Amino acid sequence: MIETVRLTKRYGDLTAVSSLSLHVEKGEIYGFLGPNGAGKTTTIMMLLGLLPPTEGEVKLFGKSLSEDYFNIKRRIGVLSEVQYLYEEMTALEYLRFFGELYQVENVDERIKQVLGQVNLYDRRNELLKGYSKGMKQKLGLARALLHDPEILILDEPVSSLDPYGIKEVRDILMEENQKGKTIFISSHILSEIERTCHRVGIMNRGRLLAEDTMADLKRRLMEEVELVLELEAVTDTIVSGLRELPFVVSVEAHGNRLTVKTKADKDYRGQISSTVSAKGGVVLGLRRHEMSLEEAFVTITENNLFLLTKEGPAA
Amino acid sequence: MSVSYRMHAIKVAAKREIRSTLYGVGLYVVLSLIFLAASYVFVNSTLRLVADAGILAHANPITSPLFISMGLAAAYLGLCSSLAIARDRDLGTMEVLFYGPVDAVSYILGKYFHQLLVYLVVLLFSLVNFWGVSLATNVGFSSDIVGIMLLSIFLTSCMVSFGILLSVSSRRMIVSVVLFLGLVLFFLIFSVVHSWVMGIAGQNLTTTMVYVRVILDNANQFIKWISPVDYYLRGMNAVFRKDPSGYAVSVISSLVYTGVLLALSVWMFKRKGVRR
Repeated sequence: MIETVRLTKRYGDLTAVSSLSLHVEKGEIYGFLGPNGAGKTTTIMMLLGLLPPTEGEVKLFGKSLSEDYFNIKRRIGVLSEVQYLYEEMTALEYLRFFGELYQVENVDERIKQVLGQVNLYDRRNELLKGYSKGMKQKLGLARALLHDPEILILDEPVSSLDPYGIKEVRDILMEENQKGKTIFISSHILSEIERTCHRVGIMNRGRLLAEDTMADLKRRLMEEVELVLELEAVTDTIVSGLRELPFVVSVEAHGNRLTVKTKADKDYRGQISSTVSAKGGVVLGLRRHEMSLEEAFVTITENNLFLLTKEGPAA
Repeated sequence: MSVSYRMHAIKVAAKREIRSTLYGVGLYVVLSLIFLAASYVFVNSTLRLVADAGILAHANPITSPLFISMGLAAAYLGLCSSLAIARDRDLGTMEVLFYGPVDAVSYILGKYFHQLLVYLVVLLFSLVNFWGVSLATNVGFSSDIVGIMLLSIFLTSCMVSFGILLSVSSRRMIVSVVLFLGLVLFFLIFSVVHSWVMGIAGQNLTTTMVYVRVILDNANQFIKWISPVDYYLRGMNAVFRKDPSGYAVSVISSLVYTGVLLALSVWMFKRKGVRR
């Protein structure tokens, strides 16, 4: 649905985006991450045809914008980080204007639906200059959804929202994705990306460093897996028994808890558990410590780790 | 298909702006001021004529005030055009339009037709105003008036496309407004000075003035094609001289001027992009 081939944007000597090749499949929620100045917004602007690339090309629905500009634009919904609204209008007038622009059928009914989705229907007759930042952002989302687009491109969709608003938007995005929409989200709120996205791409200094599913990304970054075991009682026999296992890197005891670090090549939980039992211990709980997206993000961007092969994600 | 989508985008964008203009007070305030100025010119010139000759000896006393009011209205709409694009860019609202099915051509033409359609409303008010003056004063409502009114649509088109080009060229509203006012004032002053210098009899000219005259005349060969004020003045002269071919040339050249300026605006807009 969204494809960029060696997309590059240069401003004189500065390369804002360098040879970016992205591929977002139909029905996918794709998280686009990167620190400030990584080139995310520049990429989005090129996707939308608002900035001409220096090199490379963008394809939406398999076509470049120049091939079928109006049809492509009618099939995408965009929410920017900052909401630029006609402040002298009410929400109803604003959405009617965009409804007319996109030639939305049964526009009043559709406006009722989208304003209901973002919980602004009761405020529909208020002037937009009186709206709070969060309300403006939700109205922007309503506008992006109004024409029922197949692709949603969202730049920081929850940056101005309170926790209730964030949950509302998350629920809307999940619902829209279940209806088959492809969603491309650029965000700094990594916990949201982690909860909603099927795949993520991480950019830094204009380059795409990693692109993978959350699970595979973490697997590739983690050299060791940390397991926390809660036992009825920790004995020296159990500790030494575990240390003898070839895949165990370290074992630490804290009261009736054991922190066991193993190699990350396989899932060793079963063998750990049976070793504890064989040494006379009783396992009350076993938890695998997952690397968060935040940890993965920091690891990749701080070290500028390049996790892509020429053909795509590295194995 | 893309032509119909483009036409639709032009229609929707222009409609929103017309609505906003007609529901605002700015247009009505400016129109009232323009009509006041025109009434002042009308009363003043009539009284002066009567005082000089003892009778009102003027074939069409309404044409001069009408000419002034049409000129001021066209200049006002040109000024609004010079603001329009720079303001949209400054506020960021332009970017949101381009997320959707709007391209450079539809955006520029939407702005152009907005101002031109507002001018038709201005014409309607002007017609009512001057017809009222004609009825109240018993001064005839001649065919020249209709001629001026029709011609003024094309001349306003020049002024609006000139304003749009300046607006596209500037990133800040204040720059485009200052540019528009400065250039229109310069063209107007140049035109007056040029006419005055050319009107001086040859035998009364000093050597310096002969050089000034040559320089001004050469500059005029260039300025007359780029100044919207010149298109306006040439058209009105054709009406006053009752010159149908001059009138036709004025209409055609105004259309060509508009086309060239709008094409330039689209080209420049594409180069500048929509971002703030």
